[in-house]
Amino acid sequence: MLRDLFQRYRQSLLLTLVLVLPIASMYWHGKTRTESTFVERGLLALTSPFTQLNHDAIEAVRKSAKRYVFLTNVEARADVLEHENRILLGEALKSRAIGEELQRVKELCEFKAEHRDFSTVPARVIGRDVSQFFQVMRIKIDTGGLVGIKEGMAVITDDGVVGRIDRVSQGFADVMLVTDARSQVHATVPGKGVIGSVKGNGKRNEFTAQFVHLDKLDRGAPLAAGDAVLTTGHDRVFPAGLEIGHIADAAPTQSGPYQEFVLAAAVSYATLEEVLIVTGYHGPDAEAAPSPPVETHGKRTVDPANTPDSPP
Amino acid sequence: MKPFAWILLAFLGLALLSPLLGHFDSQFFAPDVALLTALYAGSRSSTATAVLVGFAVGLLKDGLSLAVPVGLYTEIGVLAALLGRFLEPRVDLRSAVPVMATSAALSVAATVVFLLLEAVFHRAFDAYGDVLRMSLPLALITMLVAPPWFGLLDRITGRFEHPHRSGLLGRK
Repeated sequence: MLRDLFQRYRQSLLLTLVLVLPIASMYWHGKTRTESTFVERGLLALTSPFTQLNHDAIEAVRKSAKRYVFLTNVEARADVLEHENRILLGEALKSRAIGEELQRVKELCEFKAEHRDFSTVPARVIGRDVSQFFQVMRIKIDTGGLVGIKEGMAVITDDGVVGRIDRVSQGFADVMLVTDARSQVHATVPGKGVIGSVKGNGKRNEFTAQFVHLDKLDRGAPLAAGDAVLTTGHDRVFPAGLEIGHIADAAPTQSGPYQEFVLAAAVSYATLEEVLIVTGYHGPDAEAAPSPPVETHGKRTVDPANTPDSPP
Repeated sequence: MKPFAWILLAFLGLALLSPLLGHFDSQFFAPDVALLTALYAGSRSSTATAVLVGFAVGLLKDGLSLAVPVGLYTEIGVLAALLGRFLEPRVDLRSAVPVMATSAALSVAATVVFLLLEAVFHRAFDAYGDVLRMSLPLALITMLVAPPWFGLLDRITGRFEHPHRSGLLGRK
């Protein structure tokens, strides 16, 4: 009976159901509520994976299209980026160079602060090896001509001795390096009781030192490789206590009363960028300190008064 | 099996079209494939099957657009299926032009029903002007998509009715 009734009105029942159910649902879901209903949660659970899948698929297609299909202007864009890259690379290198320069200037300033017994002016190295036969480098003097730079003045860095001014002209100067065959510097090795002179032999970053023991009875410890060779200040050009180099080979060559050693330079001339020119001396030792060098007026000889006793 | 295939196709269309058009800021111009599927079901199947298909695709559309009270698109789906049943002996819904005209009219009618139901059951809704403004473009795009959509559904139906005569993409 009930089954027959259902069969007879099945379509009407279904129609009523599908028309009324949404209305009931709308009535229920149309109210303001704070939590999702189970119908909403069910629909969300049913549709969300497909939505996510669609989204991922569309994104993948879009990215692929962007990467492989829409390649318009890529070449032009690459050119622009390459140009920008070159500019940025240049700026980065410039920044690094400025940083290194600042570090060197800082070290020079610290060196100046530690050595108040002599005054210096800074100069910038602008060229090297202008002469084929001499170890010379050219520097640009940044003093604007206010300080009288004279030939024979000592040129140093915080690392040690560089050489001396050889020629001066219009804000520029040539520096004769201590490795130059014409160079001679009075030197000593602290604690070893020796005194002598360092002479250039024309080789880059290498020169020789000839030492004689001050007291033949008390020779002290023998000179060894790595011993630092410092200026004495007796040549009246270089301030005392500056490093010239260190002994590279401890096996000396005997030359009369002198022992001749091969030295390695304290300063790397190849990478030198800034130097200090010693322009004067202060303090209690100023009298004993080196006097201003004698101008040579273009002569390439070293003032004999400024050189130590030469070996025979 | 045919109704399930229609529902699945409608669901894929709904889930795919809106996000796809969303990438071009044109999601509001997505054709109402749920409405078209309900109309198609009404024109090609029994009343019971049609209203169940309309109910299912409407519910799925509710699931994909939770900003409206659940049941709104379900109700519209059922009504569209019933309209399809009503028009089936009167209008030739196997030709492109009647399909396009019916789809456009149905889309506008669906918008009106939508606004009525929103007004009754969704007090917080206040975008009547926007919906009205969008109704005609939506009807236009739905009208244009209707013939190919009906064709696609016909092909699916053909695969179920004449499997031995159907190739991969339709009849041989």
